[in-house]
Amino acid sequence: MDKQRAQLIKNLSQDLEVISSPGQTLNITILWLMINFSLTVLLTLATGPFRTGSFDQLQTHPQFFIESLVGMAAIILLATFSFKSGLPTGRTVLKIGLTPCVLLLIWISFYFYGFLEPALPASMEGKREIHCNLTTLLIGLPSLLLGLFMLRRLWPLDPAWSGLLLGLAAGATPALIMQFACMYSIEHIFQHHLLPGLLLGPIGMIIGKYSLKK
Amino acid sequence: MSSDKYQQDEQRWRQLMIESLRGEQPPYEQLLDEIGNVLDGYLRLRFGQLDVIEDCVQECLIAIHQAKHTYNPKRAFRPWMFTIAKHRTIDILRQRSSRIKLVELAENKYPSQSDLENINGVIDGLRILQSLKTNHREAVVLTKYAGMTTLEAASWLGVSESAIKSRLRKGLHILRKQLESEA
Repeated sequence: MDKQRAQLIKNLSQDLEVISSPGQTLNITILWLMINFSLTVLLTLATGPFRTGSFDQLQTHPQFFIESLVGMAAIILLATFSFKSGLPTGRTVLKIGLTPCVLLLIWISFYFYGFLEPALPASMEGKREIHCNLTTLLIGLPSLLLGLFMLRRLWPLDPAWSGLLLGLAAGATPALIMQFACMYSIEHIFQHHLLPGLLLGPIGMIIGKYSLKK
Repeated sequence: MSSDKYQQDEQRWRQLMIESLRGEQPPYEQLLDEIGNVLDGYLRLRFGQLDVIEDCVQECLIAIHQAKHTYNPKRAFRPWMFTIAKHRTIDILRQRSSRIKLVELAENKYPSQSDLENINGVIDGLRILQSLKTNHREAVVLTKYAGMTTLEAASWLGVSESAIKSRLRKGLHILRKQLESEA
């Protein structure tokens, strides 16, 4: 064996430390989700109050409840699989990302269906003073950056795709929270909540490509 | 490799890795030593006597060391190890130009018939390159095996430098996919 390699192995062995829970992403995912939702709610509140009675509408309007539930599930799955992509398992991110992306599309398709039959009657109630498209974009950004920092501690093999999944999760969160905080109108949701929220996907992809590279 | 040997290696490496994660140095040293030899053989079988192979092996060992906290002891060790090694190898090949002793023809601006026979011989000897289209294979061999710059390779083949860069990128992408599919 090469002498250099033997020396390298010796050095690496001396550098060894105990690892408490190897190969796990559950804790890091839960931590990020908790911070992400807390941060999003707090920042949303900082820009204005939530729409009056919006949480009660979950009980009175089943379609609103289901679409919110699917949105929440999509965010959880996107985050889960984004952090999972930080483990070198041999599975491509395309395979890993398929399920959460399908769920995300199902969530968005609820709003397309809303053009025919909206979950809530269109209303201007809750309309915010500040441009909510910019708010949605900016509120998701800290969570995205925090998530990328956490993901960097793992070993993502496809940094751009990991960044995309995390960006979609970080962007979908304020997009979902805005359905409770802001006015409910399908056109408004698409233009001012979903579009800027989903824009964080490509932003995460670009930042991830450069910041997660090993 | 026989199925028994495969299983024995897998179980031993997994056990050594579990002990290493507890901070035990001797098992870790043994593990790195064994997988270093395995990676050396694996890479030489696929890429031939490329002079960056030893660098690749050492870089792979460093990568495995840095990523050891991502290994889940409940899962098989080999796919995890090879996934890291394959990605690291392709990254190194992307970053570095290299040269094999057989091919000295990079210094010649125009190839002679014997040069072409030499390079075809090299290509034929490398199993990993057989899946590439001729254009992609030429770009990979000239830049990564013959040690040419992209400009030299472009001039040699009579195409633009951007075409060589594009073929090289595509060729390495296909190689990465092929290595991944061998997991």
